[in-house]
Amino acid sequence: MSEFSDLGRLVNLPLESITPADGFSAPSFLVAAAADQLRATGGHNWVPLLVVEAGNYQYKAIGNHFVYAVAREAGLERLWCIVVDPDPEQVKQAQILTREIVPKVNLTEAPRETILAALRYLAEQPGTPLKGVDITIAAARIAEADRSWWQDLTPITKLGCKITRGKKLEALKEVFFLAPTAPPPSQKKSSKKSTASARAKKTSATRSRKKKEG
Amino acid sequence: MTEASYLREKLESISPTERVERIVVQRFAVPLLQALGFDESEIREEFETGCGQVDLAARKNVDPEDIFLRSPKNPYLLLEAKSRAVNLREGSYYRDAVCQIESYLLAKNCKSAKWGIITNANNIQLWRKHGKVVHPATANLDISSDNIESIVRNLRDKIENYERALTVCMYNNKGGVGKTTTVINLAATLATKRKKVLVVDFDSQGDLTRSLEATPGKITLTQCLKDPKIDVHAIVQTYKLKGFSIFDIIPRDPELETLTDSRAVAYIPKGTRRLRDLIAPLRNEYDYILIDCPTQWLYFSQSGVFAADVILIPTRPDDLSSLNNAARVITSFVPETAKSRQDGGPIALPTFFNGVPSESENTIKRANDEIEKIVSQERSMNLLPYFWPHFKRGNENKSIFRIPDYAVISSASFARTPAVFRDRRVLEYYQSLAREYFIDE
Repeated sequence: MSEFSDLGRLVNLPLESITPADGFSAPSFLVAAAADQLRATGGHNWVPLLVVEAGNYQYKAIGNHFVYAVAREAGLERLWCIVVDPDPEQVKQAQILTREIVPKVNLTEAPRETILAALRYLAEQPGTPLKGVDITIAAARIAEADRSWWQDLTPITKLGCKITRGKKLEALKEVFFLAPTAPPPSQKKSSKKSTASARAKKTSATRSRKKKEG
Repeated sequence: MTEASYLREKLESISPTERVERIVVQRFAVPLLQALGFDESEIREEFETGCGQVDLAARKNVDPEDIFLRSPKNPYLLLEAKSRAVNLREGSYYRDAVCQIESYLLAKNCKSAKWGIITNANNIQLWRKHGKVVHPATANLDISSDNIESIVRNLRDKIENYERALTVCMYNNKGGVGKTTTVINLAATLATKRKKVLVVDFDSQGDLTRSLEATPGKITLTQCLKDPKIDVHAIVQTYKLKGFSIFDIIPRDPELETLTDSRAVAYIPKGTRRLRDLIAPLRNEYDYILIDCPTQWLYFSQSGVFAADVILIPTRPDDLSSLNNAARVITSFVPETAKSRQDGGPIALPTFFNGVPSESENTIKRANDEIEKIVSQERSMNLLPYFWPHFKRGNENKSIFRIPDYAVISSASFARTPAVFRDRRVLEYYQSLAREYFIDE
């Protein structure tokens, strides 16, 4: 890390220079009780807020948003923060590590154990839409299927594992993404067809040439 | 069609392997100058600099009677073009082109010139002249159809807003070489040349502040570092002698000492980059901003070097370690800083010998032997121009600028008066230093 960069540094920033993330919410009981504890212990937040530089002396919170909400509730004027690399992949990594977002796995290549672990994670969430789905069977059938051409998760609905279109399939999008490595079967067929017809044309042309020569 | 989009069209019309320099001049360099705001009557080809012909020179026609195309005098900007076959990204051709534009900018017919451009339509770099100093104003940029418009905007913004000040950081990684003494006496000398000078005491020990009996005001440098909303003018004071204002000073305050602890630096937004921002509003109010830094490559010196256009490195001929540490500054710290800044700067100026005792020819000889060893052992860059600036092929001139060791210089800090005001010979030596490095007289 360069001595001329704040990336990775623990810095003490004025709260007013930090823009909080949109849409974060936490129960007011937790925020208020944590703020009391922060005030009572001298106001030094040992868990830092994660920020990226967002202009001249301006920062945007990207992780540990709870810390920001608590600091504001506690009336702190300054906050300990870590400056994160603004590269979107690095921000994503920081957000995954602070559990702000759920990491996704590549279903095109994921082995059975990974699929099973992901489905188990979804099934264990409160109010999960995967109720009634036998995740062991679902993971096995998904793992056995040829996933190389899947453009979306719809083919799962045809595997007979009780994962249907709607909430169940939507829930899977939270943990899986696809990176197809083969064309869809319809294109596979049509490319086979075109090869076959080209071969037929070639054979008939050879025949007619032989006839002429004969 | 805007000039910039016309320029992009022209750029795309040049073959990627174009070997003819003239094509680059006509299809790229001339439209570039037009995009930078000069019309046809303000551009002259093959301008005689007094040190050879530069491909293009330009100047705005302010007086309708004085059209630059017809009376090519007092250019404002010079442009040296190369063909695309010449590698201007790095290496010896790039360094040669830099030397060329530098010599043109300093030539006798170009006293008025402030800017120099080197380009081959693949790469482009803007250089700025301030007195005798020519230093990069941008990094050496790769040109493409996608970025040419933003490059033009960046160059035009700089060219149309020439900043008055040259920011100089006095630094050597070895102590005892007379950094503070040089800052004080150089500032006083430049002031005698009617230059408006600001000195910044960025050494927590505060020797410079003490030497000039300056005291921080209600608002301090440390507070200003911590809070970007404070107006920097609030911490600028004036050093006066017998009632006359000599130069301005940003004094050190006692709290600055806390910044030797990295935990305290966490309270400085942008850390080592903050000082550069802090002095930015003053860059149009002074001719020179001189920053005094402590030894050791830590927060204070990193900030000073980051804030500067150029680094002046005092050494002592009787302290071989000061020569080795100077080499380290040139080969390591300055390029490291330039890499972070991404605007081409800062650069190191040639070193000089400070505090040279009389009858010290043997000492100088030993120092020159050490320099020869340092130069020959350094593989990453050619250090010759930084130690022996007058050394040329066929003329192995090893002279290094010297400031002699006068008792009056070291005792001046007790007298609270710069030595240049107490001894005429000292003034003459510092005037020579100013002329050697900074002032074009």
